[in-house]
Amino acid sequence: MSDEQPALRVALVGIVVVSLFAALFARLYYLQVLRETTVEEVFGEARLREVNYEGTRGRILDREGRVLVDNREAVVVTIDRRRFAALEDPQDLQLRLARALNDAGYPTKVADIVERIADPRYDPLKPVPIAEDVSVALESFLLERLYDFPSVDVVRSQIRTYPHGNLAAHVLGYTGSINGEELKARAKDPKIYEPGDDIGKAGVERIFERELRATPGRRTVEVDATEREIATRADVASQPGRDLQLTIDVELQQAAETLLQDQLQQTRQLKKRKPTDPERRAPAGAVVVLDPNTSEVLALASYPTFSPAEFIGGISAFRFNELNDPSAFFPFTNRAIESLYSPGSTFKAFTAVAALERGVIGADEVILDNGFWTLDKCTDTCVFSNAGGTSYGRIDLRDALTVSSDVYFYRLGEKMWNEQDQFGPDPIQVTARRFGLGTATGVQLPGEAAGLISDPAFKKARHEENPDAFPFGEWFTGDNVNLAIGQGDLGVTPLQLANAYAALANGGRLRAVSVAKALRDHDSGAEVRAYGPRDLAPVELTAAARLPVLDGLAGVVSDEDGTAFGAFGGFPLASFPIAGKTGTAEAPPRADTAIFVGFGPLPSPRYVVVSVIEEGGFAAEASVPLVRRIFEQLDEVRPLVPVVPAATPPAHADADPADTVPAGGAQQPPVTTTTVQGRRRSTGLGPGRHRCRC
Amino acid sequence: MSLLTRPSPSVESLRRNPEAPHRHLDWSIVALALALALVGLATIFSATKGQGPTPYTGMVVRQMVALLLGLSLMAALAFVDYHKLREWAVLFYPATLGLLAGVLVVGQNVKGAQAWFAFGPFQLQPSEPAKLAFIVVLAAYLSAHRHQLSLGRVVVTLALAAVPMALILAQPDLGTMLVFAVVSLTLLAVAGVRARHLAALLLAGILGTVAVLNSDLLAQYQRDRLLVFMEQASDQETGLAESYNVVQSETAISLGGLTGQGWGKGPQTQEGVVPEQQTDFIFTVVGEELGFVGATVVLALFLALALRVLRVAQLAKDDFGALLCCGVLAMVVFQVFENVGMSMRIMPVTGIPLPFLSYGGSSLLTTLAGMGIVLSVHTHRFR
Repeated sequence: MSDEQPALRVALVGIVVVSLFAALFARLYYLQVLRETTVEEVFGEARLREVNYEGTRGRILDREGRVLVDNREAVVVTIDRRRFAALEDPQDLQLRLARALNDAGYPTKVADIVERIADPRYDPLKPVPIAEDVSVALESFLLERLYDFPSVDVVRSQIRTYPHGNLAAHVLGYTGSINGEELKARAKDPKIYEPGDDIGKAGVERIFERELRATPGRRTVEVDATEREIATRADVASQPGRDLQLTIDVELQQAAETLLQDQLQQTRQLKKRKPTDPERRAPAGAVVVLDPNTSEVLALASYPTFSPAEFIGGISAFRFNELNDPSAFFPFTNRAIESLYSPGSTFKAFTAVAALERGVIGADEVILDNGFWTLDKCTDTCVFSNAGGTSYGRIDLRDALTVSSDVYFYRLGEKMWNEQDQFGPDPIQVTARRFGLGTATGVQLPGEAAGLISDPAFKKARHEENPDAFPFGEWFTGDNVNLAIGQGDLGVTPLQLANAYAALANGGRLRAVSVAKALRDHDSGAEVRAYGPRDLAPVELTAAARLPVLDGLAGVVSDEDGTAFGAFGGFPLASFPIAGKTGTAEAPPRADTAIFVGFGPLPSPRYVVVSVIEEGGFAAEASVPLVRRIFEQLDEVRPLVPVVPAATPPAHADADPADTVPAGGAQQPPVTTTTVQGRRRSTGLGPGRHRCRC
Repeated sequence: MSLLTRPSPSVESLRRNPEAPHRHLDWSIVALALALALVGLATIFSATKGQGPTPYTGMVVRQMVALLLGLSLMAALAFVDYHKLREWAVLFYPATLGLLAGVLVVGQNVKGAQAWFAFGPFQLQPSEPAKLAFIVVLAAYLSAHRHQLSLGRVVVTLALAAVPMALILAQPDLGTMLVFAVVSLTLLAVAGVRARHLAALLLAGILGTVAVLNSDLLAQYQRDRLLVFMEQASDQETGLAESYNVVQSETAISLGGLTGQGWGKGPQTQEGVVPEQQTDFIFTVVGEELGFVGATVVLALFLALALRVLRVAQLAKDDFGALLCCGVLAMVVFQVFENVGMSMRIMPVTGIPLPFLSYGGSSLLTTLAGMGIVLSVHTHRFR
């Protein structure tokens, strides 16, 4: 290196520069070409995760398309677990959030928040809901202070809303967060379920879950090893669920529920006939309105009821227990399909059919009802009587149904049992089962009871199973006699009874009961599936067996001796003829269950209405007026009902109150003889005490 | 006129001076500088746009303003006779020393370094223009005493360097201080210092480094950075927080592969994994998003620029011009090597911007001004 050669020194600098760059190039080549790293290696297997989100659940409509259950946006307070885990002082956040929720009127314990966050069933990629359906005021309060509540967010989500309030609660059911068992059961469901998703828990919400549920949307996201979202790869929008159109008619349903409640109220105020009678508490009841031609449910009411809206965002265990409390009379129970009642005298129609079909008795054959029936070949309890020992004199089958003579049917019961060789061991049961009694109706509602029609085999089996509780395994004549009038080991649901009468009314066509009419597209409203009538095994009812029975049932309402005649006083029977049957089933030690089945208009009924009132006493006092009022609500009947109430007392003022308590009390218009159908009463029947086991 | 073959020199053209400075602008340097600055803008945009629906452009816009100012400054300096710088340096050098002292008193402390003056929305980093003032002063002194570089003059040179270096170390800004050291050594070597003096200086430098490492002069983080670098050499991963930056940076560059993840699409860059990715670690963005191809092009642009500056040094009319060019060259090349090297873990981490690319107005203005000085040497090489 010489001082005289500056050019050389500059050149040396050049060599150094090139060397340095060579080093950089070499390192660059090593890092990027020889040792290239993939995104997968850096972020730990770039995993794809699918994040599902719920769509819009289908609505529930009535038969005219009026909305019964809709959706609305609700405000949900959530916590992002990833951000929560990164907090320096998570306890502080939980405490402050709980305080904010409590201040806003949403009772929340810190432990609740802790539990939610720790719940492994929530998707780690989705925020955990802490409080659902909070007020808009709380939403804006939190949104303005999100920096004070790190990891907390407020989002909008869809929840159920009920424009008609509690209407048809037992039919609609309710939705709630899916639980572990439900989740397991639906592990392979194409509409993927995730913790926190809503699922139908009761009613049609549960039965039509698959149709109502939206197909969830699916976002495919790329996540790194820490489950942090890196990018969205795909987003498949959710598809709304189908709208479910019910067979229920909103107006009729509303009428049924209101009238049922009113009737219960009025029944409680009725005086006891005898001081020894049990209290008429009338705590509960059910009403069914059925179209006998299609077996579509037009209205189905059960009281006491509940509010489906209470279940939004989860219901407390305390409140849930209240709804299942016996002392509150099980508001959850849908009495129309879950409760079994002894059918009482309403069963006589089927005994009559069984007898006529087998020629046990002729329709016009007259027997003498002197109020008592003594069994042949009898050792123990041998005398059976009409209620109160009333004598109906000489009556045929029609009269027997109209006045609800027990003696007449005792006789049939004994005869059929004594002449088993001719009629078979259980002709009444066989006939009753043909009408669908003792079998679930197949209605699309959860929890339907099958019912019970006991027979010798059943009695024997029950005795052998538990000899202490049921000491007798043998079927006695007395059993058959009791069975013939609808007492004994019989249990039917109100809906079953309605459907059995529907088959009687329509000429023997038994159909599965339906509450669902159609599925409709959520957006266009187009029908995607219709639930038409489903035929069950036909009843094979001959006119010879059916018509006398219908005749007798018509008399119940229209004949002045009919058990429902009084309560139908003033009803436009001439334009809208109705038949029916009262039933007062013993339920000791409590007051009797009041039952009435009415159907009309004759001769081709379009409505079957069943009313059951627990601890209601006599049917004519409790259930018949209710059915009458429901008939009055029908569009085709309403114009016929006189608007101006008359103060004149009913015609049969001297008759037994059981048969003459009019629906509207003194407000009923005078009953004129024109309302009485022209069927001739058999002679010998005095106007005396018509005390029957109706 | 186009039909005429070989126009004979007219009186008009003879009157024009073929040695006039404006006829000798080195367009290749202008083009290379502009290309690098534009790559810088694109890279800063990608590093700062964020992931929101509307990209953030605040930093790019500020950098554009700095670029326009810098290009004007470069153009102005290109046509100023660089000998004038010698006169200005008498004022400029003490002034920058004053600023360096002042920043320690009234400066703004950003991320642990007291290195910035704040004027409202603008910040000035006085150590940047101080580099240029130092180069001019050193070039002037060494060219004045060419061929007579006695030990005494070497000591004077070192003293001229020591004052700004001490002030910058006090900020503390180890990287910029090293730029001064490298510039000093380069200019001494080119100016013809005796080989044994140069060797002694290098030895002193090494001993000094060891002494500083074992003293309390360095902050803990500075020592940690060096340790990280040395442990990397022995293939040991450390749990030190200081190693995070280089590990992530190296990873990002590796992710680039041959062709890169694509501009604006680097996962590390877009997630903001590498701190200071728009300033000191901007090369990670180039590496990850543009890949080996893009990074090679950028480094090639730097190399071409360096060689061109070196060529200007050779063409310079006098030693002063040549030393000015070598000073600027040393400044730029050392910064590129240190900055890119630390991003790729072959150099220890120090806070040095990548010329032309890193976000920061002071750095861009200084680099472009340096290019203006080089251009001036070129334009004035005949007069």
